[in-house]
Amino acid sequence: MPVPAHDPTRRSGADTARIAADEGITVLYVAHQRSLVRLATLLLRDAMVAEEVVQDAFVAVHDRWRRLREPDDAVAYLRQAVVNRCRSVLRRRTVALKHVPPAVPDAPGADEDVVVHERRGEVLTALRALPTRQREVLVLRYYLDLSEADIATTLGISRGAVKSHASRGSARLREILTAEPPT
Amino acid sequence: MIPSRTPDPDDAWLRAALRDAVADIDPPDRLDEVLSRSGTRRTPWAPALVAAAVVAVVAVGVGVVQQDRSTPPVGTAPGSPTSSPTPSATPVIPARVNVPVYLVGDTPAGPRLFREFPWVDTTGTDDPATIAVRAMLEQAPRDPDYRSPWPRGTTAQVSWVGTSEAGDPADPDGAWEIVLRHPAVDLTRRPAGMAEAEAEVAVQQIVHTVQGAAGDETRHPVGLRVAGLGDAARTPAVLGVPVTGPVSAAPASEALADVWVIDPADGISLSAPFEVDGLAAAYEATVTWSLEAPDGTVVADGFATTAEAAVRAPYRFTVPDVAPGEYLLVVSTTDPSDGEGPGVTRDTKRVTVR
Repeated sequence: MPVPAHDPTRRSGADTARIAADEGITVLYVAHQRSLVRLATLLLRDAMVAEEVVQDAFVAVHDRWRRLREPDDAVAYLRQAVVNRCRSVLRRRTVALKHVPPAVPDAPGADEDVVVHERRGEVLTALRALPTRQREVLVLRYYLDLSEADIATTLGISRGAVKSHASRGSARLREILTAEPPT
Repeated sequence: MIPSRTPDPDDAWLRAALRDAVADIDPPDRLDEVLSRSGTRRTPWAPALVAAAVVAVVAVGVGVVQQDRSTPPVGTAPGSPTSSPTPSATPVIPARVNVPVYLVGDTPAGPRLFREFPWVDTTGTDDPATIAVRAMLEQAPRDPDYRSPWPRGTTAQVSWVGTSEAGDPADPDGAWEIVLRHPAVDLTRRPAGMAEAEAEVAVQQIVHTVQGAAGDETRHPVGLRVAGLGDAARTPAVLGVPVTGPVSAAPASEALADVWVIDPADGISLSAPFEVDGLAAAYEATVTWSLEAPDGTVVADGFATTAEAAVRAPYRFTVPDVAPGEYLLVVSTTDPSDGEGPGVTRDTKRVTVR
């Protein structure tokens, strides 16, 4: 694991702010990178894209380091950055496809971009069938174990909305997953 | 495996199902990349290669069609492909997309913004705002009356800082951040020979391009930063224009030219009669137009009314059947002062009637 604070080239710049950011981000990365990639995979289904999204989120947090007041801010910001970026990725797939002229038939394969392991594919596919908000709430609640209040903050919605998305989403997810017999 | 298919009131089933679904995802350690990428950030959006490939195949088709219809008489841009943009063996999958780009042109009121919709080659991993800003900085305008005042060689990274998705109207605190860089030119200073008004309109140009390409209807402000100065707050000016805080889009009456021809684009071939449409902020809601032969002879002219006087509103008119040949289409605002005032704003397009 590189620890850039000890990198002489960085030190020579005497940029203490940069060193603090590098150290802070290193700690965060070790603690959260894997779970955030998994979180993003649940939101996107595509683990490769999820990995890129998380990389970008870490870069963004690193760039903002001095504006974050406490380590907790950084974790919350990171989480938020990942969720928002995932939503953008999904939205931009749609935006990109808007450039497709109407004469051309739809591209149903556009989303079928990863061959996922069948076992986990089932759950991931079921998640993709949910509306974005429901999926986000479920994943933050059941994968990250966030409180209702934290989910509300992360998504910028009310706690009431978190509740209703959670109950509708989990009912729907169960419905989808129990509809087909296990193979 | 999915632990149990029986609904479980304490949600343990759901928790286990989600954890299990991603249990074998073990991303490689790429911390060094995070550290080295800081401030030199790649564009994050949608590295979904298959989605991009779908767009690429389709968009390449569109691009070719577009070129057949409207190969401009001058080079569109250095580096812009005039040959087939078929994906080669490169690892990235090129796509052609169509983005709005704001450009500067002269009006009696000084330099103002016009807009084009160039086709841009992209790898399919960039977001529209990034693509449009890159086109603005790197591609020559199609219309020779337009220009981009930014020093050649300027590059920009566009990112969205907000608690919601990029450009979301429901995110009042969201903002765009653009990091500008140039290997040789100090972008905080106004280049020698560039008028102050030109520099101001250049700043508005990048702001409008980002907002326009991202479909940011709320027009979130744009923070501008010159790379290499450290913290965002350390960029005192861009092209000599003070940027102490995020820059908002100036009102249309100050930033945009009073008349735009939106269709046809400059340099296209079409058959007559053809329709022209655009936007104008016109005195008494009237614009005049003419179609001029290369020797200056007016072969057709007329006027059109906009939907509303004085504010920017759409107009539309039809150019009647004329002999095949090359023409200049001119659309102008009218001059309420009858020659006493600053004069009229014009937008012109070269067209070839087949």
